[in-house]
Amino acid sequence: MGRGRSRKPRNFATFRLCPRPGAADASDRVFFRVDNNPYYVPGFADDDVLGGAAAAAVGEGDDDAPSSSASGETGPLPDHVRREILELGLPDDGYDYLAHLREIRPSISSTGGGGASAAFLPVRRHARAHFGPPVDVKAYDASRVRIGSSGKETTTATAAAVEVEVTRIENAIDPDVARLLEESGEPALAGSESESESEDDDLEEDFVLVANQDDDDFVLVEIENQFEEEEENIAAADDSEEDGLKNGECKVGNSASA
Amino acid sequence: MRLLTHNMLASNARGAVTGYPLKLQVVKWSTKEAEPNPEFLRGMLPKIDWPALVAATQALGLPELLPEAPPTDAELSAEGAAADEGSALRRLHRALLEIHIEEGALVCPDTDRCFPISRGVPNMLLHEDEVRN
Repeated sequence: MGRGRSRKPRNFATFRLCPRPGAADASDRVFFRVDNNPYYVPGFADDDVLGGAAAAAVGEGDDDAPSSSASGETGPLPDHVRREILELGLPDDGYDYLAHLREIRPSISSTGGGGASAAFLPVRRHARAHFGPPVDVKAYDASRVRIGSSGKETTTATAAAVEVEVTRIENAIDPDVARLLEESGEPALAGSESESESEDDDLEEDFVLVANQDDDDFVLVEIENQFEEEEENIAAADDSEEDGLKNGECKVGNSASA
Repeated sequence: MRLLTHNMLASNARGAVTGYPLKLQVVKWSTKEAEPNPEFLRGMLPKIDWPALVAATQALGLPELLPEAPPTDAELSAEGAAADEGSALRRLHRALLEIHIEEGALVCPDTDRCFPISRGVPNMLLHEDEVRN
């Protein structure tokens, strides 16, 4: 029956409190482990740390700190912690005195300094769209003048043109109107054919004549416009006759070959 | 224990709101000469709680050692300050690094917990029931 039973692991440790070897003070005692169990006790890594922790607990805090508290809190400290402890004038006995330090922060600059600087980004407003100048009435007048010079309109349109011209006659006296006429005439002369140029010249002459005549002379203007229409009709008839002859020549050629 | 150390220590016992500054009760103190280090003092000054340091010197019976206001950088950097015994630099150096508390106690201002100072070593260990959870 007893052969199959397994032994329980030995998870305990035995220590004895003994005076530190070579210590003059009798109260300077350390813990010594007196068993040979392989069980590892946290906080008792090696003899030096054990000795230091025991000395700190027993020698200095015997009345105020129980050994259980010391064994639970002490242990091997990192090197940087030990270095900092020594720099502050505290003993390097294995206890982390840094846990008892206040929150250290610069006290002089407590009222100022720091703070993220706000980046000022100026808001760029989109410039308003630039609207062009108001409609130039003078340009409008120039376009009306061109309508009057076409000559293809009916009698009613011609009469309307005459009325418009009467309005512009008043403006013709104004030097600005005269300048506008010259400006409108120059591109036309440069870009149009010789016939258009001659028409513009005639138109200017008409304006000059009408400007210097009385109201009773409006009939003369209408007569001139009618003449122009008749001339255009004659030119159109001549063009159609020439087209007919050309067609006849083609027909004769076809019959000869047959 | 130097006054520099005292200026940094705080009580973390259960019930302590701030645990700082610890009241200093001096039974025995001594002076150990140390080499002045102006750079160290200028760097440490912003971290010092000046009123607590002045109170500590008053507890030692040295009310005239330090002024009510901390020294300025100009005073610490003054030419010849390290050699002048009466300069602000030397007085600060003496208070922080040359004065050592040998026997006495540190008392928590919130819980009145007493931490003894024995042979220059403060015992800040707490009982199990005093440790914060």
